[in-house]
Amino acid sequence: MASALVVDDSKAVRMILAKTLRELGYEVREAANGKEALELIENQKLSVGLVLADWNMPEVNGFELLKRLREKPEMARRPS
Amino acid sequence: MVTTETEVDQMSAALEAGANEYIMKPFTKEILVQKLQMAGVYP
Repeated sequence: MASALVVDDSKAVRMILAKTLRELGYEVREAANGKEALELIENQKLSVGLVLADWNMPEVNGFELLKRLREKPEMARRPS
Repeated sequence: MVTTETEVDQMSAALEAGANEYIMKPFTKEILVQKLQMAGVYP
């Protein structure tokens, strides 16, 4: 099953996006900011095929998250 | 389509940093599907 990680500090946005992606056939995980997303991917070894991230977020924003993920060999070419 | 300079700067920065697509809020389900298809990750 296709997997996706939704990263947004708005719970309402996360819920709507996650629901939509599930309806489209994705298995969806959620994170409230870039720091939580990195925690899932780096420490919990979450493997996802798609990262859908907001730009403006506390702690680690979407741009910083993107740069951090692209530094990882396994995420270097993964759509996000 | 009308976008602000900030949005254009953000989109440009995101794509340069390796993002496959950039979606501006608010967006519809149809737009999301189009972007997922363009990124090659539509299931």
